[in-house]
Amino acid sequence: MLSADAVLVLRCQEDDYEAFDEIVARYKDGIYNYIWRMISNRDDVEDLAQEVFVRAFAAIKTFRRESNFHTWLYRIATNLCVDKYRRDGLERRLIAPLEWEELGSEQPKDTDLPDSTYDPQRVCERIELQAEVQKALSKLPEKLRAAILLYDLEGMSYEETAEALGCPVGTVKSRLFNARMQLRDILKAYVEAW
Amino acid sequence: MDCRAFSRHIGDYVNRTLSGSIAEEAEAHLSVCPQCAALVRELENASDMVRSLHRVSAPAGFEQRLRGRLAACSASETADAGRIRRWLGAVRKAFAGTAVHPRRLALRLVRLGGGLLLCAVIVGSILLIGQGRYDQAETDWGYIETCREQHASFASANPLADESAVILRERARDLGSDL
Repeated sequence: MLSADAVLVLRCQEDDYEAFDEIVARYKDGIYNYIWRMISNRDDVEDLAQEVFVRAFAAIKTFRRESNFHTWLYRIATNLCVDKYRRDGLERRLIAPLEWEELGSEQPKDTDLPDSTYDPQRVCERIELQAEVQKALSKLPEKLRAAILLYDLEGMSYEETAEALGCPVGTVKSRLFNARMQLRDILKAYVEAW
Repeated sequence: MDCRAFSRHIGDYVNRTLSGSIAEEAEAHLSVCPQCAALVRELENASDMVRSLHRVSAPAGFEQRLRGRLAACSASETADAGRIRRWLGAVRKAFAGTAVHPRRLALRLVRLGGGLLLCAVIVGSILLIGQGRYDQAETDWGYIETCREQHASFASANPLADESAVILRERARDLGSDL
């Protein structure tokens, strides 16, 4: 029994371009979110996210069906982000501050009905915390950052994370542990009060 | 299980991937070790903070822009493929009648070109080195001639300095000629 992804890939390999549209619709948000968290320069996020799909489209005919398609996409995304960092030296740049528009549902809109649970102080604290977590993530080495984002944010298993990063499961475990230890040190005050 | 043994499983414990007797031993250790329990709590909190980050969606129009980009890429690839096909066609026409497949033939031609280039580099290097030696000998001969003229005028004025003529003769002999 083929998975939904495998069927879509098979259709793409038979030049069914609508199947690729379905793949894009299925993964664009996940890939965009991952790249958003991986790199600091917001102007490059869409360009890199599109590049992931362009490369996937170019290589989909050579994709082996026994591999996991969604980890393959994330692997392309990871490689592009790492290349981008190395090329631009983005690690030294400061993280862009979070803006209201980045906070999605947290943003109060004029058209929203009054919400009895809406607590401005809680929202401000949450915004501050999210900005601090993103800043702390940007301080991690890119390999550790990729591991924790794939596992904790994208919800992958050890095996899927290993496939997406192209390393053994044991390496994923140690990268996750090191990433969390470093985050714990950077966000000490927040981690203790969480 | 002591702290050292627990530290080997702490990552799996935080990820809830421990099972069986090891999970039970880890739980038992945490109930008696406040330091390990505090570390586990902090690591879990760090993980929860990452999980709590809001998800950012692709902006509106992402798919349309991607479609445009894919169309541009395929047009350029089609043009490249066309150029390669035309080139292969030209090669096929030029070598029509030969038993070798055009692609294999093109590969052989590339290899042959590479080999010729390598030979040219080696021969060029040998010639340049030879030219350098020739230039050096020319310089030596010019120097000896100058010295000989100076010696002739000096020796006629001072016969005791004739010993230097012996040295010059030896240098000339080294270079394969008599003064």
